[in-house]
Amino acid sequence: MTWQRDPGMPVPSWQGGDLHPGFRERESGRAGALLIGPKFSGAIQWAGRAWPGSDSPGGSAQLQAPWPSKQFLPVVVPVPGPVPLGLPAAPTATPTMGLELYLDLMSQPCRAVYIFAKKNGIPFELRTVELLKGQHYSDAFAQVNPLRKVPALKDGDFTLAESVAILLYLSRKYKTPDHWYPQDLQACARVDEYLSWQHTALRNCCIQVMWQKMMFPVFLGEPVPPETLAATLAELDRCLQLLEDKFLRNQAFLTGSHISVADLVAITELMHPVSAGCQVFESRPKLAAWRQRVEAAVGKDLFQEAHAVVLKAKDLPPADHAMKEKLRPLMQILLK
Amino acid sequence: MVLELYMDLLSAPCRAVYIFARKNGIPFDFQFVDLLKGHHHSREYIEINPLRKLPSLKDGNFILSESVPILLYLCRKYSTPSHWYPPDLHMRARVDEFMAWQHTALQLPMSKILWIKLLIPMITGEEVPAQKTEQMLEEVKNNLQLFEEKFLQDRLFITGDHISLADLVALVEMMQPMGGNHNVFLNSSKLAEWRMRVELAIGTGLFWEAHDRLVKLEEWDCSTLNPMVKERICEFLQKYK
Repeated sequence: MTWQRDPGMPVPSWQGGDLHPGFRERESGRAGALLIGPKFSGAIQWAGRAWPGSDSPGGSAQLQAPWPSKQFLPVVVPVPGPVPLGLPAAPTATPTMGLELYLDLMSQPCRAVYIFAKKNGIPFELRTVELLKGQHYSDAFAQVNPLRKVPALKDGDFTLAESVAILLYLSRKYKTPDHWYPQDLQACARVDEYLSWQHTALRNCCIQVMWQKMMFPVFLGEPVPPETLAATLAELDRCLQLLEDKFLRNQAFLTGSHISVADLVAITELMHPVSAGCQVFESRPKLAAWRQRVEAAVGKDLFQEAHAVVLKAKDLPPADHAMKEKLRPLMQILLK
Repeated sequence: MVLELYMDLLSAPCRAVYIFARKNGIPFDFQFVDLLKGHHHSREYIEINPLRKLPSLKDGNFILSESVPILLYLCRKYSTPSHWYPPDLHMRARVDEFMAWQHTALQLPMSKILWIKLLIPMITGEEVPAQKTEQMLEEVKNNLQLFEEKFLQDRLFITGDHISLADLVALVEMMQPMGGNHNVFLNSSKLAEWRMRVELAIGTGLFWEAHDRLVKLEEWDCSTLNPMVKERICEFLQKYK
């Protein structure tokens, strides 16, 4: 197979030519901009914030705003010290403590872990880490996850971050039914492929939509320029199309004929824009049918239980001035 | 039919797959998809991977994208030595944890350094404002610190005494800024020592062969870039200004 190679171009060693393909280009197609691939464009970089609530614990207790937990990166702006609020039931874990899952159901990856554990009857202690109150910045929580993100797992002395790693750990330790993460080489690869792709694709879209469509206008009282929101919704649309065309295709579930962890991760992600009022499924019958199947496979009650918190996000009272100020640098990032 | 790997070694995920396959003696056909020429947008390649990204794997009729799944697939299919993806529950989880974290914490920022230090000035003729550069470098510094404190700690490698997929992926990502002459290993002897260990575990010859195209990137003559394409790149790059 040729790639419209210029006849004057040297042939790479692995195709029988010299070791180094030359860099003297006679002609080029679309080039370096896409060197790093489309996921390089539009990726959101989050500045993790010392969350509001550290100044006025009483006041902030009223608010139950959703907070995009997952993609916090270390702050660019210096963080004003650890938040003094501890965890609700601060565990100094004894060796006999069972599995603990540190979750905030506002967060999409937390919901995936929650649903998976409950569906499979895995016994665990739920440790709620309220992102809104900045509890993920407490010293106690840093012992569990120095990355200061949710979800996090603690199993005796063993701690683990990252929802994908947690899901796989649980599936192996508790020997959950094969369809969640199949043994079959190719079926497993399909699940891995989705779990890898989603980090920089659907995840970003869904958070941006949630914030630009709802959190900014409703919670923060800040208008979002219509063209910015339009661009974000277009990106979501593009991701959804990829979801349908590349992953779902004509299958019952994303990676085959049975539900897997990939479906859990995807559905919990899509409920974010849904909770912001986006008609994600109404115009896409194929995705809507898939959603029905996933809900049925998970169990409607469990599904609704996991999403109760985020679906109420639209009823938030507005943030006060102090909180808005704290959020200002983050707002700039979210509006890109 | 031989396994086909579609790659351009300018891309860090491609280098991880290349090194892994070569190190483990996995036979494959290297299908060179030249990013600098935009071949990842060619009709032939879009049929392989409509996401237009590298690397891709084609094993008979089975096509797979994304470097992490490709590495896992190769591990399993070719029964590579167990240290690459340890069977121990906790150690395996550590690898998974790192592989999930690195997408946004390492891969993206390291790529950005290459853009800011080399490609943007080269293609557009303009420098990125110092403030943006500082911000990006600060973010990378913070993430590398997290890498040392959480993932590496006092161990020789991420999972302990032996190299795994996590070390391989980490190192090729951290090498990306080298294309723009930016060496992230200078500030930390711990990181530099780990880098050396990983290079030796891979094999110095293979390691540098895989990185050859990257370190020569500044020799690329981008003046031959199609003006229309260049204009589009400049628009796209406004985001980083």
